[in-house]
Amino acid sequence: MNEKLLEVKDLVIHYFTDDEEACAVNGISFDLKEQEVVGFVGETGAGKTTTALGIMGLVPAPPGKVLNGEIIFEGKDIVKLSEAELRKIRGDKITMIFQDPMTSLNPVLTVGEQIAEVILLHNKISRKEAIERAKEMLEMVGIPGERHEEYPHQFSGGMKQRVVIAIALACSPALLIADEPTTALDVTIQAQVLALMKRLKTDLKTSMIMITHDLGVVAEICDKVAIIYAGEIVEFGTLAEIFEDHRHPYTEGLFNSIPDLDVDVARLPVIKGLMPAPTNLPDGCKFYPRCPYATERCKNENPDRVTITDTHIVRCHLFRSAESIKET
Amino acid sequence: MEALLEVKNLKKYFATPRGTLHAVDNVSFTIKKGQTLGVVGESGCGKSTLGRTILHLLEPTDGAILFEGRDITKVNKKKFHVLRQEMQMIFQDPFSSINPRMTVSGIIEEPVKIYKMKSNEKERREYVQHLMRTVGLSEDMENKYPHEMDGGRRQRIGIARALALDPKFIVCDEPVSALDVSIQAQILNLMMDLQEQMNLTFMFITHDLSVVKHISDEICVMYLGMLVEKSPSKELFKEQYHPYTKALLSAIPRPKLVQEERVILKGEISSPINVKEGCRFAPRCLYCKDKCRAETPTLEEISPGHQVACHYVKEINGLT
Amino acid sequence: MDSSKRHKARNNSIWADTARRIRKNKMAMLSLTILIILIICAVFAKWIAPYQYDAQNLKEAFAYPNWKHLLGTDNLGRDIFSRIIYGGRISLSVGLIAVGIAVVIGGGLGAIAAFYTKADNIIMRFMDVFMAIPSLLMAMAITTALGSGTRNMMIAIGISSMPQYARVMRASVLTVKEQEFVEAAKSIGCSNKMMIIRHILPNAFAPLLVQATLGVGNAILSASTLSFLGLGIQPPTPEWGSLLSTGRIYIRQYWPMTFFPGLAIMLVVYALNILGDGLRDALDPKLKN
Repeated sequence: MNEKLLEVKDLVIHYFTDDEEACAVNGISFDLKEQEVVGFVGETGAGKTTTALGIMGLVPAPPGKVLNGEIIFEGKDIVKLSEAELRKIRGDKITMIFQDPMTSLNPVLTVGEQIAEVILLHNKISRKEAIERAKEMLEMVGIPGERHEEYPHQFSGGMKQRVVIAIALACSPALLIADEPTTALDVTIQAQVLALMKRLKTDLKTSMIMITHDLGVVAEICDKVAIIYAGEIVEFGTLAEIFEDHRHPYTEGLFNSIPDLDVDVARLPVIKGLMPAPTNLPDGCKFYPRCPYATERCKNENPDRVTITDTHIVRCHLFRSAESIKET
Repeated sequence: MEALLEVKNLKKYFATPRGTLHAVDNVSFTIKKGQTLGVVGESGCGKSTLGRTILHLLEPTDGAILFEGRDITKVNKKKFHVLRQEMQMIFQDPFSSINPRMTVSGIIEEPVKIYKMKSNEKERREYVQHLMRTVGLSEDMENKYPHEMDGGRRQRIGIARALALDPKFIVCDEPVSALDVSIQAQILNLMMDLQEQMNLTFMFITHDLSVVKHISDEICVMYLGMLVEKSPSKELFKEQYHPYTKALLSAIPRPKLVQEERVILKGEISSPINVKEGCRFAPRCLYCKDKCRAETPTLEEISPGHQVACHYVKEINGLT
Repeated sequence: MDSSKRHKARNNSIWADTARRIRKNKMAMLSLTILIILIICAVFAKWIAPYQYDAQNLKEAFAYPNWKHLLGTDNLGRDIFSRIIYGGRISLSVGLIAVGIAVVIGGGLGAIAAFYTKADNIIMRFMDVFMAIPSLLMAMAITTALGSGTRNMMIAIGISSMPQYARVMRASVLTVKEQEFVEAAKSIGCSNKMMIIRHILPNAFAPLLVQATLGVGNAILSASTLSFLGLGIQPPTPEWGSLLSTGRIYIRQYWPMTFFPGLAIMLVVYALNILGDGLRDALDPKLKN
């Protein structure tokens, strides 16, 4: 359980256009252990998806460019791998599920063929065996195996997302990246898909990176949480640490602005302002213009990572190291 | 308080090649002046069609819509043109609901021009700037194009456009569902402030129960074109009687460490084409019996103001 | 800037912005210059052309480009440069006007078909009938009916190529029509006319513009075919398409007769194409930079 599967060190990815440089990812570091599920939480444009694409080796270049950092997966640095080597890993060891189930399936191939295709790409087995595997995969995600001969349009949205999950898991990957897998689904269908993912998490022991903006989804399925803001992880910790003991003002703001179903309030507390555009990031702490506690120091100096416990890291001037917290 | 809008047995059917699509079926409700009605349901339940039918963006098939006591169901196009000033809409998608080729001020001043609300250029411009301030857009954005702005600001443009005609009633079709959580809260607060300042009446359509909780006085839950539960907002979150409402509320992932037991519904929403007699929710209901498949339940009052359309509501909830 | 000035700038902002943006596009400006030069040459052909277009000099036939005849002479010893300049009169006006007719009528009908569902079937089936007849046959039929001559030829070519513009416009309007801002316009009381002019057309015309720039070349060539069949311009009046087709006979022995008229057509088509693309981008505020 404690083997490190993925280690991302100081990853920097920028997008270059004719006259602008968009700083999408600005020094993200984290570890992912085997069988662990990490949630990436942040607003649109925070760099969640770019980080995931970086791990898949899929950052579109140009305009994207990995400027710095290492992504160590099973001892190899993904940033340095060739396209051929990456292709062997993608779909086999690392797979990704995208947000929109409606567009991520090919409408002219049966779902069985689409699952079998992935299996055939990475395994030396016959077509017939692959179709058998595909049926098993469908059963696993709760779709009767006989439906493998049907086309995507014969499935509803929730079912399509199950098929997408089946494709992603077809080669028993070591790491599954799910980019907002339930955002496009209705609440009751989302509950079904989340229940399925939870079951698969225990059955298959796959590590997962779950990208979402919904802290509710995180609470449901993740072991650890990374709060991402303007291309940086501002807080990282276990589920309990983030939910019960968050330290970063942004995390605090995020939790406050979720309408709570169990408490009555007249007005929702808000984080004032907007996330800075990735083409125009402030110096110093990226969050200072919106931070209620900002000081002069926050304006000028970007805070370093402060370790609070072994698992809990926060990027804020207002928190010092674990020792000094104990002292005070 | 008097009723501003009254909808009686409203029906909207569409003819499709495969049969009649029952988008809205026998929906009745009233909204009092200055209040907000939340309409909640999943995609395909007819909630957006309901809002559009009330605003005459779609022709109602049957039923009556009363605005300030006046029947507006069969009003002709010319007369409705006058009524549109009173009834406006805020749209879901801040990206597709504003014309990408118009500037911010152009978008906001369009209704003002159409209704010739201001006699001269200068007044009109002052009014547009006033509207921009009201919704929290800075005045120097008047010459910007929508694509230069983020989702939250675009939605503010949409709100300003709806407010421009000084309406009494606004249908809000999922105005925050395309926005990030922190922006969502900003927009919801803005809408509540505006309601207070301008004495607006809202019909707030959404799929997200947690969003309507704050803003609504009353909530209707829709399933496949019909209302299944109607209740004062506060009461609904304390006590849900319809099995669908229970499941809907239970399905929302809570940002809490200790998770409660879920009611997970089987299957998905069935087709609204050629619906048969019987409870629309029956195929997914945990408590479905023969009567549910044979007879369509109607809304019945369980407690003051709280109505439920379910044959076995008393048995399910242990009421006498 | 004081506020009244700023206000003024805002009023004509769409056109001012467009002009400003297209001025930044160097290729588009170069294309515009080329087009303007070609048009000026055509209009003032009398003063610019060194020779009469029909001045024969058999002694100098098939002369390669030299200082006397910049682009050489043809089989009858006529100056190719002069003939191209005079030819531009007909070719450019036929190309531009015929396409103009096709865009206005075809685009208009396409937009109406897409916007008013009831008219859709009638208009588009009518267009299908038009499309089923080869456009050259169609043009021939029309010129035969109306009689030959430049004006009738423009009408014939314009009408025969109209269906493709109608199709393109209809498809484009149908997609724009479904967007929420059109519904939003309806909800603020916009009339149908305003809705089409302000909201739908500006968002739907880009594919039509591209189609039109490509159509000009075709129209010039169709004109030459009609002339060849005796339904258009009669020799010796020069016209680029017919210059090209007479030159074709001698292409193995003597290249200038085909090369230079071809170059002229290519120049116009390229210039229009680049200008069209530039215009499309300039009209789209999303591509401001």
